[in-house]
Amino acid sequence: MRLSSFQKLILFLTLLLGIMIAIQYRITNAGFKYMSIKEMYANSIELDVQRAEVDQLHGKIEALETQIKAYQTANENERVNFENVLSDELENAQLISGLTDVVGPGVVIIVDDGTRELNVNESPNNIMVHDLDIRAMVDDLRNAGAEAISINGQRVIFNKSNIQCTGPTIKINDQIYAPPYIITAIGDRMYLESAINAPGSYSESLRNWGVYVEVNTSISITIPAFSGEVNYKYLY
Amino acid sequence: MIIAIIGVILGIVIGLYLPFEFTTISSLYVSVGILAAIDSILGALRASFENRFDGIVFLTGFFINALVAIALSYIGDKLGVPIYYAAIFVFGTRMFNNIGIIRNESIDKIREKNRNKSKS
Repeated sequence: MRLSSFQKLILFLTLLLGIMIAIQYRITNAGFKYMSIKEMYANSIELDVQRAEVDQLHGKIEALETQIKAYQTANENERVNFENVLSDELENAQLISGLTDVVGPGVVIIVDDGTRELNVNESPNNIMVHDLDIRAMVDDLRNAGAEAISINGQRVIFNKSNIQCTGPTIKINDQIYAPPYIITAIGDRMYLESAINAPGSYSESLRNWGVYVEVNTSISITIPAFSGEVNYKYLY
Repeated sequence: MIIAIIGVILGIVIGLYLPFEFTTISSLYVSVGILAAIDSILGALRASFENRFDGIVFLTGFFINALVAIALSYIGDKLGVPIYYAAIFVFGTRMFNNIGIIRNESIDKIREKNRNKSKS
């Protein structure tokens, strides 16, 4: 077959066009995408966040799987008593919610009204211990990782304890106490002690007012169970 | 016409097996260049149907159109003005015009042939 010069030219240029199209096709379908460095940075942050979340979820899956395994072995194995597994779990739940006596290392804090001389016309409220002082110190201890807290032998649990002002005294778990207040907390002794002694903590300002605050660490502290009633009226 | 189609197919086959790639960033410019090339080839086919085909005009048109389109879109990119829209618009419209004319001409030719056959 003989080609005219026109046909040769067309064939050559269409060949070129075809090659260009093919290369372009290969690029656009190679899985790459053109993006700016800013976008890349945002995407990498997003990727890290998602990866962390995936890791967290994997951890959760593992925990649940070990629980399922414990249930299954208790169910299948005759030698393991199913009741024991459940009662272990119940004990654990009670330990967390503060319904059992607990023992551990921690701190003993003594808070008392100040004994300094009052200035002229100064209110004695300034050197007295108030309910909000106790509350703030309890919060400081919780932030420092306290696992159990009690005030004058009354367990402070997270949703049922009240710390309330009743004149010169304080009502804790519906029992009225006069100063001195002895706060005990179980947790890392160093952290708990420094939570009370650290500059900038609430106790620091209490000391500046003249309130007496003393912190002692102890290797073994016993904190009693929550003694009040735990019954809910409005929860279903 | 048939030669053009054969050429494109051959080119695609060759291009798929070429061990050579553009960088990803330049792909926008290449796409505009491809559009210009398609436009020139369609223009050449149309010219051949109208019997006023000129090899040199066609050859220069093919390369210079593609290069100018690429250069314009590059400059537009640098200035923040999307000039490649203009290239796409112009080449796109011309492509459809040319395709329409080629279609009309070829239909006319086929009809003429049939008429001649039926006469003879």
